[in-house]
Amino acid sequence: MSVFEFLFKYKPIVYSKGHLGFQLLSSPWFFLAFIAVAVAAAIYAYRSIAREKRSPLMIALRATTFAVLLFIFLRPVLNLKTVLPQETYLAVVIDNSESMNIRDEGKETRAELLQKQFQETNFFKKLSDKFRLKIYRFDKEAERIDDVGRMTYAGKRTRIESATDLLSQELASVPLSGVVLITDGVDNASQQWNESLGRLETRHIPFYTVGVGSDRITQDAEIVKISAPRDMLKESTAVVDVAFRSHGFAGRKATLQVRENDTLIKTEEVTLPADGEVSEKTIDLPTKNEGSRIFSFTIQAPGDRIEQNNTLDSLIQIKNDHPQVLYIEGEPRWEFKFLRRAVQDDPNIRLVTFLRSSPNKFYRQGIDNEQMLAEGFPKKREELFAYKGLIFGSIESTFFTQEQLKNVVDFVSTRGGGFMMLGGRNSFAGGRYQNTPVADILPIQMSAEARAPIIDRLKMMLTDYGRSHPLMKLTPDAAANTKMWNDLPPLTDFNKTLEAKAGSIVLAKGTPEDRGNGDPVLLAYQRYGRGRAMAFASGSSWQWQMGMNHEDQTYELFWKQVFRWLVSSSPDPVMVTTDKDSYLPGETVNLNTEVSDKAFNHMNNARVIGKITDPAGNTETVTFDWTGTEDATYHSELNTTTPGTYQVEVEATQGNETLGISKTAFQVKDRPVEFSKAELDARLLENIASQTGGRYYPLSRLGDIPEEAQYVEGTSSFIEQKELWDVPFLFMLLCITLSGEWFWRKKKGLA
Amino acid sequence: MIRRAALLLCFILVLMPLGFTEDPDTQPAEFNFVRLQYNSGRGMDDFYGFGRFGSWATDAWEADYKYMWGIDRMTNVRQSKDPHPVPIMSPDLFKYPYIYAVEVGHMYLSEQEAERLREYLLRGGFWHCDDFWGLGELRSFISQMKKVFPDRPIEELAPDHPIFHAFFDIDKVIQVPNISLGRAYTQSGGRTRTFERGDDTEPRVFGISDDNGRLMVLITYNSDLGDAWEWMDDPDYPAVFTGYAYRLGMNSIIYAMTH
Repeated sequence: MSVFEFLFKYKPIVYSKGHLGFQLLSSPWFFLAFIAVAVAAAIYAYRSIAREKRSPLMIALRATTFAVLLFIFLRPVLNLKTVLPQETYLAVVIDNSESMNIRDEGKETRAELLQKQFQETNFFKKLSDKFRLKIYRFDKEAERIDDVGRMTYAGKRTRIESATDLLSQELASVPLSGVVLITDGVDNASQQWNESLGRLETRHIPFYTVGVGSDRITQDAEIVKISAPRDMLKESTAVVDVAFRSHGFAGRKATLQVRENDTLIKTEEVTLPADGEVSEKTIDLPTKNEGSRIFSFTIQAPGDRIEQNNTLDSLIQIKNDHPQVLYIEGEPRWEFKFLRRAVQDDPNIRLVTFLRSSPNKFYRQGIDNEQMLAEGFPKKREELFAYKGLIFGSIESTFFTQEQLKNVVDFVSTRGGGFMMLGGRNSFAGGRYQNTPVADILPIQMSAEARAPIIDRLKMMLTDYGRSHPLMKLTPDAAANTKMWNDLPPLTDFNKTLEAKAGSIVLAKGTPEDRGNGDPVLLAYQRYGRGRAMAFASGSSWQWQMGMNHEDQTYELFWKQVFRWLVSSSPDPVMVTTDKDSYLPGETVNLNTEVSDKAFNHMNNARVIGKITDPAGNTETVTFDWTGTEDATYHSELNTTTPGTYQVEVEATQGNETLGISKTAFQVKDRPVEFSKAELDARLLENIASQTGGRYYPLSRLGDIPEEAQYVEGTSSFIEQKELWDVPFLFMLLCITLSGEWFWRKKKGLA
Repeated sequence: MIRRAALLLCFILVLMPLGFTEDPDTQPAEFNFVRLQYNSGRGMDDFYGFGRFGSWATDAWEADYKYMWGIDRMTNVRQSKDPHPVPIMSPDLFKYPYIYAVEVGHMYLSEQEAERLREYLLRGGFWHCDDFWGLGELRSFISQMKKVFPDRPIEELAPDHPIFHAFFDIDKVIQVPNISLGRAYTQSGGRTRTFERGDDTEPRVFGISDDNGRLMVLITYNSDLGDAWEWMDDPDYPAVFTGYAYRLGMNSIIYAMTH
């Protein structure tokens, strides 16, 4: 019994739901007249007392005494609308999801605590005395159960709207007095929750919400998100950002393990952040094995109470592709030689070079056949667009026709290729590019006044952005990486550009020995249309190679990374993509295919067929339809239930001509979302209760519900009167007023 | 009238510099024809500046100048106009990825020099060894090269090797004689010998390659390309040898700058 109940005989809910009345008065407002009589009587009683001895306090105490006595004699009651026993229904809806297995305090699970509370409060027995009970369990779906013993607490998702939708359907035509909603409030799947709840709200059905669990997770480390590239070239390095959160472990060390198809490939130590905060760790992963590879990231902290949220997967398609890069150079240069040398052992980069070795002679290397580049730099779009990367060395803009220069711009903006201009005598303004279409795609502005490269020793220094950019990572450790860059031999020339363009990313600047040359931009890039363009404003990076021990791979590593960056996101004419790399069982997989011809003209009249191979090896054929809203975009949908990796191969044809074949993969897997942000969401439950006219109860107050839920207005309600004349507080008040008055009178010498 | 003309001239002279920017040709050379200064054990090898006593300086500097003229005329290589001797142990060696050594049959390398040359070549440097004749000089040269690369073979280059096609197509290796034999060859109507040593008379082009098949050392044995460059303007020196020497020399440069 609470103090309130002791003083006022009934629980607060009775007072909040009830209306005051008097058995001897037709309206409670008449009691105001009795109060006036009480005050008058008190004044009358003190009329003979000398003015200096009486006080308003004495009169007030006497008036209160009279008023309380009159209140008692008039037989006060509380009128409550109460359901008739067994005449109405009450729905008890219980969360059946996995998160009910969390041990908030490390001992009993939420489900065990709930069960204990059911038994201790005799919950269902008390409810069934007054209501016709309907018990439901819900996770992603809701269903009616006969008794609470059928709870499994194994649901992978919590979707409260599944319960409200079912209640709306099943109990639409019965007198429903209320809904007891018992959950930890972690709703991770509802999509139209407000609409669903609104349907019950219009029927004025109150929700008695019960919060299970703790609103503060005590000891947990959790992987929150994996940011990884979808596609990578074989023999590359995938840069993956792992976001993790922790509770109760601030400043403590944990290990981060990476597994590739269940084989441990890397272990890193991380420091856990403050409660509820998210930290990130960048991990470099070698992509050695071709195909669809599943990388699993697991965080392990001693004392972790929720292990189910410690692992997340990422699917990376590792392609043994051979994208071609065309490098055109206007004169024999050491930079040309050493760049070719740097990437020659990269099995996934095919470098085709076109060198003007004399005014009338061109030297082709890396060509597939004698016809390749035989006519010079590609004149046709489809010939140029066959490459995924394009590099201009020291070659003047007048070497190209206007059409060719426009094609270069389209190569970046439309085809989505990667373009790079290297520093040199005939590069940038030295090659008079400032007034050509190519100037648009470059990330830097060119100065017509400083055309020739400036000869000066200068160190290449990373910018703040460059220090964290994967392209500039020579080693995973940030401090060691900066040192490696600082230790590189100096460059010996640079093309003086103006500032980087707005929106471009500057990765490195130079610090020339002649400080009058300022800090020129050396390496910058920008996105342009579908592609990207980079400027490396020096022609002397080969000095790094000749200036360092032959076993040092810094030079090779840097340029391989640059070349791969140039081509890594260059699309093929036919490209199939999924909207996510991982789906839940039963979730709809959206497949989109973009179809272009070799010149990257959009094709809206292609025939696009996909073959989907499930984890068991069964193949299903799906047809893609043009969306009609986006050029060259074809769409198809799938519903998959079997967990595992699905392979997708799409072929686009037009007539008898094959436009291209594209492959991708996706994963179907349950994610432990029930254990992510799994603390009790009491605010949500309070909102539901207040919105519907119900009330929120912590689990410890579960036993209050059977009594309180009966005071509901409805067609099956009757008015119950609760007598108030014997409320202890009234008698206590009488004692106080009488003794107070006596004490005062005695002080004044009247007693 | 004269005043107006003078004013106009002044005006033009004032404005002229605005229309011009820095001449790109004033830029430093990309390529230097570097003559390697080695020790031949004869003494005075390093006495550069006061005489040309070492074998390394054979044909200097006429050959260097005339060869560079040819490179300048026929290729896009932006090169230094001056000869460029560099000692093996010079810290500048690694700034020049191409070196030329002549009379390498007389070359002597210390272990330290051999190690330095090995490092130079493995980093990406290219070395053209020229003008040594007969089995004795060949054995001497091989013994020195074994100090540089104990395990890498010295292999004869096949006609389809890229170095024979990097700039000019060279289908056949021919012997390039020294100036004396060349003049005699002309005067005899092509009936005299072109080799210097009778114990091994055939010209051959050898090479040492790295692990990726890139040629690091070009060896023109039983030939004297340097004399052919030096005496290219001698009316009695056969043009056929000069032409070949230029072609193979330029091929070596283009190859070095592209591989």
